[in-house]
Amino acid sequence: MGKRLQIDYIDVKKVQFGSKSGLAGGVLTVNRDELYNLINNDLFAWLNIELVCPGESCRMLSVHDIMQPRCKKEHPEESYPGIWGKLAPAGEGETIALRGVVVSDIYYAKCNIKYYLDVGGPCAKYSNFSRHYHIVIDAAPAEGVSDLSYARALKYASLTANVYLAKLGIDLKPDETEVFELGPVGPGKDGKPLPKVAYFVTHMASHDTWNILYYGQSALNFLPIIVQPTEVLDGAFLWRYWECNYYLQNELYIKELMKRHGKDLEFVGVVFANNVMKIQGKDTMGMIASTLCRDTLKADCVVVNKSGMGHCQLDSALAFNWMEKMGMTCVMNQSAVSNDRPGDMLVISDPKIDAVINSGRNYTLHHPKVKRLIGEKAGVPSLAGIDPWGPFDHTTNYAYQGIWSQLGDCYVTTDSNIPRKEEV
Amino acid sequence: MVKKYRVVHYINQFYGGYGGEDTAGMAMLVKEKPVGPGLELEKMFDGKAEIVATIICGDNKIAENLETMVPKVVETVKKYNPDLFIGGPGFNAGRYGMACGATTAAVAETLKIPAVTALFAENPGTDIYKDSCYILETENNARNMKEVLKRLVTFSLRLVSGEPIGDGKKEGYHGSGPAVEIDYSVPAPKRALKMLLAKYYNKPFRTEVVMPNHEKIPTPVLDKPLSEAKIALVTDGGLVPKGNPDNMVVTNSTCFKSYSIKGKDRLKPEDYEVRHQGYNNAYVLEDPNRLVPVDAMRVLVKEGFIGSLFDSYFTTAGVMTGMDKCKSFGEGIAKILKGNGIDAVILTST
Amino acid sequence: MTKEIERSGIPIVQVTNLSKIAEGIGPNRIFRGNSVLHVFGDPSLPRENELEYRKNAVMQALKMLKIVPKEGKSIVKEIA
Repeated sequence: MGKRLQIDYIDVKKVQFGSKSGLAGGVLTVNRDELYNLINNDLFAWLNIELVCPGESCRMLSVHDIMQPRCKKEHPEESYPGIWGKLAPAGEGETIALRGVVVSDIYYAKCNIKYYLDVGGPCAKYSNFSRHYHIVIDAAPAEGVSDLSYARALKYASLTANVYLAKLGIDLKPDETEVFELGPVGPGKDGKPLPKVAYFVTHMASHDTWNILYYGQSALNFLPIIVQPTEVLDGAFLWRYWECNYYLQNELYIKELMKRHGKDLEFVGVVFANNVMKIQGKDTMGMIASTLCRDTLKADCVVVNKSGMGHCQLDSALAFNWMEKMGMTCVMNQSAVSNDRPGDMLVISDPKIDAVINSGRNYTLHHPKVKRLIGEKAGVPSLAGIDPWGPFDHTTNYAYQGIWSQLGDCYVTTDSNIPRKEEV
Repeated sequence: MVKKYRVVHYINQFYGGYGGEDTAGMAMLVKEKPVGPGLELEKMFDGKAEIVATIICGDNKIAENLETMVPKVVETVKKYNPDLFIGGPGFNAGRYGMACGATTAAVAETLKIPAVTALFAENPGTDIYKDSCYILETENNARNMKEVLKRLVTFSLRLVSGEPIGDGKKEGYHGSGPAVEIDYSVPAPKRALKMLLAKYYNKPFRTEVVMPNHEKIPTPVLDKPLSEAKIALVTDGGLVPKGNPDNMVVTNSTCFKSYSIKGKDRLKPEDYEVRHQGYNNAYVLEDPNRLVPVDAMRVLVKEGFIGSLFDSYFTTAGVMTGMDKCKSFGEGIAKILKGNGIDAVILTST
Repeated sequence: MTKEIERSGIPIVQVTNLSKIAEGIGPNRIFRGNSVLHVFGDPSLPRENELEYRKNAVMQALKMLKIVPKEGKSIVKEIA
């Protein structure tokens, strides 16, 4: 019997700054000064809290994390345990989530990959994040502050804002409730047992500031472990600073597997592994993960997924081969292997990898001149030499926030339940 | 009565019986029956299919005017409403190969009907179109025409019947074949579980990404002693001079560059930076020789182990960059290397 | 890139830690480098020893240029 997690969604239709923070009738009001005093930190040279509205002629540069405001209903101080909140097991009880508004971090530390986003104009439709209101945390590091200290401080400030906003919804009646629970399952329609499906995901954590944390512990040098699916959905895991944590909070594969549990499959659990940078390590992690799936979770099938680029295609491929060798049927999700056609950016070519989903693709977009630009000084490496105000043409590949996620989201379907605002 | 599949066949002036080079400029024409190799092809279909039209075109006419001629071919194919399109086979004939590849790919992509051709690995048409349509492998001459026709027939019948086709290595075609149509309006996990359950229950399924069938290149061997050889260094780790004077990007590279190492005994960390988003470059920034081993190479030259080191190194960022770009970088670098009498290369990859 | 350089007739050794990726794509000579992060380096060694390590690795990679691989297979070597 698995843990029971209930997420109560409160829809936010409009966000504004005002003299008193509150949430009523779908309107979120934020006392900007109060929030500023709450989250400001000596390690910041300056801090601006901005409000960006969907449809606005606004471009955000170096927007490196976007999260849905969430908090634990009974014990908000235990939200994001170990990373921000007090230690407590995540993935159980009741969690409040505000839908339609997000907290976005502008990232000033050195980073190989940085993203930008147009919330209005012709490129907006290529991202799910242009449907949301953004409370933007725009803070640069003070002189002499290391990248790691800054990253820690920024994430902490952002999570403080995150919980502050979510708490405003605690006593409200939710607009929608989702319950995640894995109960016992019976046989399928044909009388035979349902196939047992495990979910194996390798996440890229390569150094301090490209890291994934589990209850605040850095996953660097982790061995593969079994975790609860509801833990992933409820803030036990957090990237700092890699992919948007919004995608982890709404992990689409886990949600789908949970929905199908008892219907045409039995979801037996989640194995998490960290991406390793050496070939011997990669193969070993793949094998260990495979034994966890087969011997501990008793899986018949595995869905293999990852975050990461070329390197991680290899981790997934090695694991896939071990799993099939050990008698489990596998499919693999690949999020970043296509520009124009599926597979044009593959680095693997093993024909044994015979079942692959290509979850997103790239385009070259024409970005117009915008009226408002946030994060101008944050520096996006792929835009070097280009005027970020626009106009410019650029590929969306690891550049445009929200075109796809490394877990398998695609701008066509993610958040399609949130209506798109017309251009302002 | 079992329905016969309707086939349109494309051939050139030679196979059409109009002559050789002298008629290579002839305009496109259509005969509503099998012609040349088409006669054998239809016989091999053994009543299951009939060639309702043969499109014949001069090799020069089409190869020199692809943008105008290929759409014309597609238009013509469409008129006959066929179930299948077969091009060639073209073996190693360059212009004919371009025509076969281009028309087969265009028919596959535009009309979305089963389409297949057959070419030799080194035919330029193979290289360009192997990831856009099915190009079966052949030898570099038409000696085994009958055998190739037989394979075309077998493969075609599988295609039209909707049978799932495996990867190129297994099925005998180049590259990855036609791009799979993906319906992004269905979220990935739904598609994944559908595929997984089909695979689990041994039902047919189709992967969305076909593993490419990379061709094997015959191995060049260094034909002189190392002590006389001129070696060049290449890297895909994105090492560039500090300040990135050529604005090299960190991903999705569009070019490669070369930078002089003349007079340098080693690469000094203060003179270089890394433009590559895919790995933690701290160690390389500390000591660039860990990526481009100039210091070790200079020692080896001094000791007489190798003849000389080329006075530039080549660099690009090999991350999330399309295969087609990588190929063109390789071609470009190879050209420069040959022009400078380079005997061998060490390429460091991250 | 390696295959295009080979196609032009110039012998080449690809030095990479991720030999499995290279093997899939099929260049003929692969020398396994120390780590993705420092292909020709070993930061655990003191400076002077690291140059010696690098020289040794480069020599072994260069020696591969003279080897003729068996039909259809790539040669993969590690630093000895």
